[in-house]
Amino acid sequence: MPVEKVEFSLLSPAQIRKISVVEITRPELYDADGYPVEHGIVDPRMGVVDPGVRCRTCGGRLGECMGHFGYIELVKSVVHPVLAPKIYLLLQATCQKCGKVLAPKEITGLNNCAKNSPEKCPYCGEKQKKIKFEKPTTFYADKEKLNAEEVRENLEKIPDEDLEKLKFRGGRPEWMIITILPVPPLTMRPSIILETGERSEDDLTHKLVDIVRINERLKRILEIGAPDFLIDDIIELLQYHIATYIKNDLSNIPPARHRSGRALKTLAQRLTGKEGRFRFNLTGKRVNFSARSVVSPDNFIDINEVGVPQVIAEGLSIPELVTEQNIDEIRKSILSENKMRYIIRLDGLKKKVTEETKEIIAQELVPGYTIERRLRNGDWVIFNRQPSLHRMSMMGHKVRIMNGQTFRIHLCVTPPYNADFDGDEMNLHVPQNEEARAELKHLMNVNKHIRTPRYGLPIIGAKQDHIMGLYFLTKENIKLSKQEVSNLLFCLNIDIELDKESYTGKEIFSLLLPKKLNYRGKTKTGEEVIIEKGILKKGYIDVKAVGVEEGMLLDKIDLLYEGEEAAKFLNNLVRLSLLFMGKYSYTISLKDYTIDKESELEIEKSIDKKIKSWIKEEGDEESQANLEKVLKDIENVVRKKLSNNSSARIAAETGARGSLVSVAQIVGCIGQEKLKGEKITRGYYSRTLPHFDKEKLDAGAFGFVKNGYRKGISPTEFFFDAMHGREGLSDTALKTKHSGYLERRLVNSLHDIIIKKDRTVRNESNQIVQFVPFENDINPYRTSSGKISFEDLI
Amino acid sequence: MGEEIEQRFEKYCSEHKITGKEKEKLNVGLQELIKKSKFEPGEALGIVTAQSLSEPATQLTMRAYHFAGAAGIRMASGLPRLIELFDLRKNIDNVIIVYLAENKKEKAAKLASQIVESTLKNVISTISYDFATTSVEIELEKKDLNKLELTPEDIEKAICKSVKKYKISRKGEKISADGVQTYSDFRVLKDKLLNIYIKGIKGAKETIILNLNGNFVIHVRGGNFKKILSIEGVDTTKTKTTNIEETGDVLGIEAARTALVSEVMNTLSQQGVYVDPRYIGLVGDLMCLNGKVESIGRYGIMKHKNSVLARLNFEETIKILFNAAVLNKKDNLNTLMSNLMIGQVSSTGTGTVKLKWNL
Repeated sequence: MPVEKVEFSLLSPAQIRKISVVEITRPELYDADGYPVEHGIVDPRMGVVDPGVRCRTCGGRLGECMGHFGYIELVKSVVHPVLAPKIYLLLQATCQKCGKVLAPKEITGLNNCAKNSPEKCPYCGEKQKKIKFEKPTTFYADKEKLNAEEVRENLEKIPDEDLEKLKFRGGRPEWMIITILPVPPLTMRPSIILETGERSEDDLTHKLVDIVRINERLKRILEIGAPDFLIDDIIELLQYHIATYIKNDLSNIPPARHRSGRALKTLAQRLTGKEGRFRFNLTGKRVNFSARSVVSPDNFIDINEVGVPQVIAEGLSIPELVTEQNIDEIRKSILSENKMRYIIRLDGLKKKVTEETKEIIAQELVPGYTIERRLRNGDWVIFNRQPSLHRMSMMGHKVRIMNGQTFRIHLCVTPPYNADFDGDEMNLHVPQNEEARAELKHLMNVNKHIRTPRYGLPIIGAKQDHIMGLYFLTKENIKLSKQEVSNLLFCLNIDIELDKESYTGKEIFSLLLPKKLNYRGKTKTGEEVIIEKGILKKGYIDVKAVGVEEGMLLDKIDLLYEGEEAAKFLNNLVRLSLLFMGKYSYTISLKDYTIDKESELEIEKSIDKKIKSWIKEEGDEESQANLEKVLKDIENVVRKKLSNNSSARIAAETGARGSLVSVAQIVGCIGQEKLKGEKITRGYYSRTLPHFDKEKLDAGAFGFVKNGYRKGISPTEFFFDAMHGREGLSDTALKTKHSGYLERRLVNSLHDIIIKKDRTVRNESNQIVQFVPFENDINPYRTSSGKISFEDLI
Repeated sequence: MGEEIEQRFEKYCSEHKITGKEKEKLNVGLQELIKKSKFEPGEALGIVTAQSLSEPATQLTMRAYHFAGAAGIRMASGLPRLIELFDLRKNIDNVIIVYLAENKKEKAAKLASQIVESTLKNVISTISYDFATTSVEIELEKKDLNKLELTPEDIEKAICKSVKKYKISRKGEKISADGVQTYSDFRVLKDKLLNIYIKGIKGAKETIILNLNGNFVIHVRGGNFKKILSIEGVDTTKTKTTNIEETGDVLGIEAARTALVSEVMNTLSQQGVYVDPRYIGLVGDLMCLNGKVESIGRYGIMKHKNSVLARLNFEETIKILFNAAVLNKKDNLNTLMSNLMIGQVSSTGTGTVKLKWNL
């Protein structure tokens, strides 16, 4: 039976008595022999926390008995510290004599009524005393202190009809004055036994001891008829203890402390905040059937596979129903391999399969039993990396059991998880029923998440070396012999007749493409790429075709042939590229960052010229902007003069890695170092560093680095570079905090905006937010960049 | 729906001379595409939206400001600006971007001088105190007066209006106040005098004229949006402010939504982050759902949620819990969060339907 609703209201004293099993009257915990004291704060009737003991109330063992409440009868009433502001409003809103709501009939609600109270009661004519409230629990009527009993009397007078007008529906208002205090069960405040054998009690128990002790003292003092001021003091103390028992961070009163000086964690603090009951335990669930390990790359598995270490696979299980169809198979695997872990009989009894019992178990197996088998190849699991910033942070993978101790993932699925292999750990969850498995396969499957819903382009795609390899393969003049080709195709599992003696790279790449595909696109440098009927006719493959965030060819295949085809394409493409690279590879050396002497001189001159023309004057943004243009100039020289065979250049221009700007920073100069987006001006009196002459400050004194990485930079330049680097580090550290909170707020505000069955977007109160989802009912996740392009159809 | 696509389709066909059967075939394919790209009922659009906006937020810079133009007025940017927008922060350094009805540089300069707040200190050349006659003498600067198109009488009036304690008299460009007995009185009076408002829009601290591709635009830091709009010569159709709430108050809720969407979009694209604009549109719709702009947070959208469990899971747990008790609130478990807390499947996504076959 599902839960239908959760209702909130106040507990009445009668209810508290009803749910309680014992009255607590003694402040002791254990007697001299170490047994819990009857009617003490750890009275055994309130539940069991030690193994082997049965509950005195319900007879349940540890884990079976949920615990039972007790109660403390308070000698004098006390104001509830958190509800005190509500009491204040009620006192203001109602007549002190007849209890009726003072405000005129048309006003409703507690706050409004309290604000609009006339000075004289319209019903009995009583002049109202001015109520003052002093945080946290003290009330005054015309400067005369009201004790809790008096407040209670006033609240009792309020008639039930008037409560409705105040919208006070949670019970009688006098219940907000505590006359009887519920004592939570022991299971809620278990004592722990330290290594030394001593018992250490929970914070709540400590607080309850204080309350009972003061309550008993108050009882005695009233019996002997002590002077009033003494009684008042004790009542005050009782009020303090109960207030801090409920909430220990109230303003205006010091928090109750442990003997060691640590503030106690009492009821309210147990619930609030990130580590509180709600956020930590109720919204954050702990799970079984999961594993965590370091991830490392494997480019030769499929993108929707995950390599699982043998040891982990042995520790995870999947329940499977025994049917007439699979009983023989299961029986066989029980006997032959040690693949089964448990069987569950029809009556729900669980039995472990061991070497000794396996034969008997295989015998008794009938349809209807459930077996728990180990993880095996091809099982679907959820794979996840934290922080889980978007839905692609949890995707469905197929298990592939491997040697070693780490999870293996394909490099192409690195971007959605934002993972790298410098020690990142990831989590794996095994679904435990057929429904979940089906959802994994059909909804969470990596193949279906090649495209991100954020902007509708691939987020899974070729990276770095894959792109370099494809460039080398598909550029002009690549010829492979029949033997080489057959080796490559064998690895790719492509079965065709090879009737030519040699093949071009383009021809081999074309084998991966869907047969009917037409594609027109541009490379990163603007050259045309044409694919006709699944054959690469012109141009070469680079990021713009298959890369992350911009691979339009991959995008088109994913769009027209659905995920499976795109995934197959990507899997093969990576293998092809890397296998080809095994033969035709590249290296990067200093030579790749070297241009001819004349051009270098030219660069040097232009840097010097820019520095000379720079003017120090404050606010002269133009000369600063002119100075910063130097990097652009160098980049242009590099573009013109750097050899076309330079690997650095190829990497930058195919989009595999790096950019020409960084080449310019290596060859030419690093340029202006900035702090908070501006040139560096902070530091010493009238200069940034003491190394500069105050009279002669040039661009270099404000963080302009005129040397390149290859030449090496001067100590002052190095310092500025470090300043810039440090800013970046502290920025990211600060940023995560702010963007994390933004995410939490956004998700909490938007999580119940759902497209309902009538295809309108509504919130949880069924208000329509959008009549047509996203104004045109087009899901960015299923389109290229959020647009429908029929041009692709042709 | 789909009108834009239909139009594009017709245009494409006529341009490429596709007619008859071929066109029909293409149209069938197109309809198929449209059908395929529709949303499915049950889709948790809210969560996808929240994630699409906050995931790139980790890529934004913390750099708080950027300058419009080479030397413009600084505007908040990056993550701080995004937070400011969703927070609907009240006391932001808002910038009003004024477009001109007539695109001329002189007009812009004139308008700027009308907008910027001038106080007495902008038009004074000297201010002195005579111990013998116990009078304070203020000499006005004629050049500055002319620039602001003010006469000494205007100034006198402005002073008379706010200084009632002393007798004010004027001779040409000299204004004097009599009966200032002590030097400390003079100091108090001087402070007051210097800050007397004489012209412009209160709070408009700074104006800068920019030339954006031939359009002259005045950037105003601070100031009242409504008052600026009522100045003659201002293009009221284009002039805008960076303060979303003010936009809503002055131009209405639709304008506020549009402004919000375009501001978020700009903030993101400035940093090279692309998010489908319709996600921002949804957030905009939600923030404007109740007729006035509300923030993403505990005092805005969260405040209206009728699910107690969802709200107390967010912030101010104790306050919400006790309020719910007093008001006898019920949570009908129709939100994702409350179902999660209870341990049930919520009616989102595949949870909207039930399996007939018990697995």
